Amino acid sequence: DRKIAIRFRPIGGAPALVNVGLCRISANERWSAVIKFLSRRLLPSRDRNRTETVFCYIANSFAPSPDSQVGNVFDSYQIDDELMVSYCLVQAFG
Amino acid sequence: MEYTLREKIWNGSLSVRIVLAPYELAKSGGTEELLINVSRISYFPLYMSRILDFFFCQGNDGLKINMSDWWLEFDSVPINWNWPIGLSYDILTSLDSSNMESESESKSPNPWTLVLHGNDYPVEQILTYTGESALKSFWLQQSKEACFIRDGNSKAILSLSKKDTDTLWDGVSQNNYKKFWTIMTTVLPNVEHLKSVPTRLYLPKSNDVLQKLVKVVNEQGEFQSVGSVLNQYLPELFPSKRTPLIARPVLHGILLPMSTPLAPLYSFGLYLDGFLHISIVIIT
Repeated sequence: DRKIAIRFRPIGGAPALVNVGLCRISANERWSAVIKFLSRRLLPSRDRNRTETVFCYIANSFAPSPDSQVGNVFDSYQIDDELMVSYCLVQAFG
Repeated sequence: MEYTLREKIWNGSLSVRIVLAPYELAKSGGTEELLINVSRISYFPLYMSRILDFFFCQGNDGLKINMSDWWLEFDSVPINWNWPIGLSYDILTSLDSSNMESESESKSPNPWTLVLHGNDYPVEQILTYTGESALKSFWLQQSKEACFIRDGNSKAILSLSKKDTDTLWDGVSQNNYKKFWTIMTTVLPNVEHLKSVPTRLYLPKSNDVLQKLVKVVNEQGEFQSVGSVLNQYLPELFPSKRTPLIARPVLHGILLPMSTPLAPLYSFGLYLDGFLHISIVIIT
């Protein structure tokens, strides 16, 4: 089971993650797992089940579909073996 | 040439038979099925209100229908609402078009029979649906992603005026060729300026999709062929670049010759979200 490395970066006034440096996640997971990971750390528990509360962007340009495979996102957009993911709590970039 | 091929692909359609799940029959007053012609490149949510109206709105005014409850199923597999209809058909029916010529009747199901459900939405298997705005937002993100792959950034889509973005979406949601392609031609780079070809490969009998940054030209400076891309990324299914031995590539229901240059194919064969969605079909 291949693990890939994600580095998260807050944008648009989102809080920084506490005690999270480089994150490792299975390449077989769906992108929704990445969104869930962020929700757990950023949102009070009562908001977690609301849809679209954390927005994740690649290259500050587009949001991968929650059903994409993490391995595919990594293979297409990694730089130096790391995937940079920007996140915010309000929708950015349309 | 591109223009007629774009139009031909745009006009591709499927005949679908929608059968209401038995437990819903009481609500519909006994209406059991609907035959409907759908555009291959379009999405099921764009037909859903018409479908639900047919089943539930004939003399049944008081019934409250919540769009997000409804989903379609083929052979016990829930249909991804966010996939183009033709892609779902090609991958789920595993159409091996090469059989067609040798047999008087093709094996591909026609009409394609789907079961309509209003209960037990399969949240673990398909994305939740919150209405047409969910489709629009999904489509826009995919379009920006495809743009990023083509150009190395998403500026061409991001810098469209609101009016042009709306026209592009109207082209999708109203199935209007002219609206879509008038804007899309201003966004698409010439084939020789493509950085990579936005391509997804769908594997048979699994939920697996492969997406890589597919190079436009090979080391000799020629356009990469479909066969060489398949051989590079799926060597077990495509041990040869030239001859399909184990599996075949299908796009818009059409068997792709292995020698087809991928980048020129992209310029007319792309789906509405800017990707080439290629189904892999095992040779039977």
